[in-house]
Amino acid sequence: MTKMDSPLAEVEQTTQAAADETRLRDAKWTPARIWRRSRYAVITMINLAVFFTIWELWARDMIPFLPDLHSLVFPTFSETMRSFKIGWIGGGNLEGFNNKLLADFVIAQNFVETLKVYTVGMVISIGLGIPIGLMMGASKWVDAIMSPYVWALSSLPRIAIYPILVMIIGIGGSFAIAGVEIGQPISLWVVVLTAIFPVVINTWAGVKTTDQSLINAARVFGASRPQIYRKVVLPYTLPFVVTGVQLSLSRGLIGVVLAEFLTGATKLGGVGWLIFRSAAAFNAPLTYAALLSLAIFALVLVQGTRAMEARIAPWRQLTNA
Amino acid sequence: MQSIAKRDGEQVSTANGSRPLIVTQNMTCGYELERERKLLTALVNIDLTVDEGEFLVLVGPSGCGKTTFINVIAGLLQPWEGTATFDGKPILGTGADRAMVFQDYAILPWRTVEQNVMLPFELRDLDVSKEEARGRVQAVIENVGLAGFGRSFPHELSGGMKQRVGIARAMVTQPRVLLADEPFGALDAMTREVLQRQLESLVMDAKQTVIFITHSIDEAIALGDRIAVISHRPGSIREIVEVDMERPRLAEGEITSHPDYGVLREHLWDLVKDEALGARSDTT
Repeated sequence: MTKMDSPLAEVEQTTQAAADETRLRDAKWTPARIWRRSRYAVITMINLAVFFTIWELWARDMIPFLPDLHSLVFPTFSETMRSFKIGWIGGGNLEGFNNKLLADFVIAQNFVETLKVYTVGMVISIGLGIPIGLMMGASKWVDAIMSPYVWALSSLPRIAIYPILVMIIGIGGSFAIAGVEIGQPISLWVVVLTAIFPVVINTWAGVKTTDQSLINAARVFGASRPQIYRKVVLPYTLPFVVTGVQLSLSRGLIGVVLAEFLTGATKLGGVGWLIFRSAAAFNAPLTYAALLSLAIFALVLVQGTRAMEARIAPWRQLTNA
Repeated sequence: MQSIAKRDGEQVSTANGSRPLIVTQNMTCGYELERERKLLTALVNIDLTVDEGEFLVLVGPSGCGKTTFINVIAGLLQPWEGTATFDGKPILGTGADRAMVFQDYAILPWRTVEQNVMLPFELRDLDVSKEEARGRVQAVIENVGLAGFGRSFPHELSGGMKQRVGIARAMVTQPRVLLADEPFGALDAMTREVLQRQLESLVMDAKQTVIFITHSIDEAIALGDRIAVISHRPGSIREIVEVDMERPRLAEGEITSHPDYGVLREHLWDLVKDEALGARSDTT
């Protein structure tokens, strides 16, 4: 093929050069660019500062038009932060607190308990969910056999199965992996049953919606069936899997906290248990502090998977933006 | 099949001295509409011969089976009746001697330009060393005007550049026939013209055999040695029109000023319009 030397090809190249120039100009640290890069962080910080200030003032009854809530159920932000500090890094002067539930490191210790069950549950959900979804997408037979159960269980409010799980597995007990005690088997079951379906369904959807013209192209250029899966279907499905994992990470978190609400441990039953137990004991600062910890954890998780998505499927970013 | 076996090796010469490369005889073909669970006949009794080095353009109303024809030649579909042969042998599947360019580009979005063009070497055992394959990928990328974009991802490219990737991927294995299914259909008029010109120079340089589908009669006249007008569904060959204009047709001046152009265009236009109207009266 001879090289293009028409004026129209030049138009394309000039456009490219203009784009390069824009990129170069944007790379300089002008005040406008610093603002553009940091404005979300700045706005978020101001936003949160305002939120916490209103919280503090409201809890101190200093905002006249907001209803007066008793300090037993609505602690101040500063009280909450004090419980947060004691619960995470210890050093608590416990005088003046109304309940012995708040001990040094209590949030951290319970968090570890939650994290153990959650992590194992998520590994199982993702590790089983992806192959199940892939097989359902690839084989009509597997799809036909599995789909009634997958769809029924995934549309059912998962907590409705809990009584059955209690009957079969029972509450209490503990399981260990490689000598490390993890937690109650029932919690693990709840996590897996809540978290596995988004992975399965999204993976399946990825395989099913793989662009037919990409598959045709691969076939024309000589792809065998395994090659079509390896070189087209799997990469195409990957961002779907990431979306499924994202969903399942937050579902699993609901599952583990829910399970901890219900299992009723005597001590160290996880963050969910701590929230439930401290609220029952009217230790509101601890409840709020534990809740805040959970919120931060969930936020980090979601942002982390978002970053993962951007790295794994950059071509989807443009269409999603 | 037996009649084909007999034809094998037989040298059939045509008037201009070139050898028939692709021959379909009495070919009927269609595909299954999976959702409606029924078979759809797309083409009936197609007798068509494409000579080595020839540029054949298929035009016809939407849904007339042009794509089905190209898919049979590519080996993606098998004829229901009749035969389709490539170089004397029945077409049983895809092959490295036949490459395709798609209307929607069909390039892999997670691969760079280089990696996309490399794909045919990865999928087939072509007896080409890795180094040679890499060299050919670089050369063809340069030839289609994508020098410097080897490491770009498709989402960073314009539509015209994406189709250049599609053309590079098809040409990199030096196939004996290039199948193009409305390759420029989704492009704007300017880009389209650039790529048409480029394709013409490719055809002249490499004596490339091409089967090219288009909806544009102007494009058909600009590129084709022969233009086969396909009737509305189920498609059959309505007429084959020879385009007797010297090449290059696009390099200088307007092809529209050629003395034969107006008559040819009007004739083709009448045929295609007739078929398109026929298709409409069938469905309503």
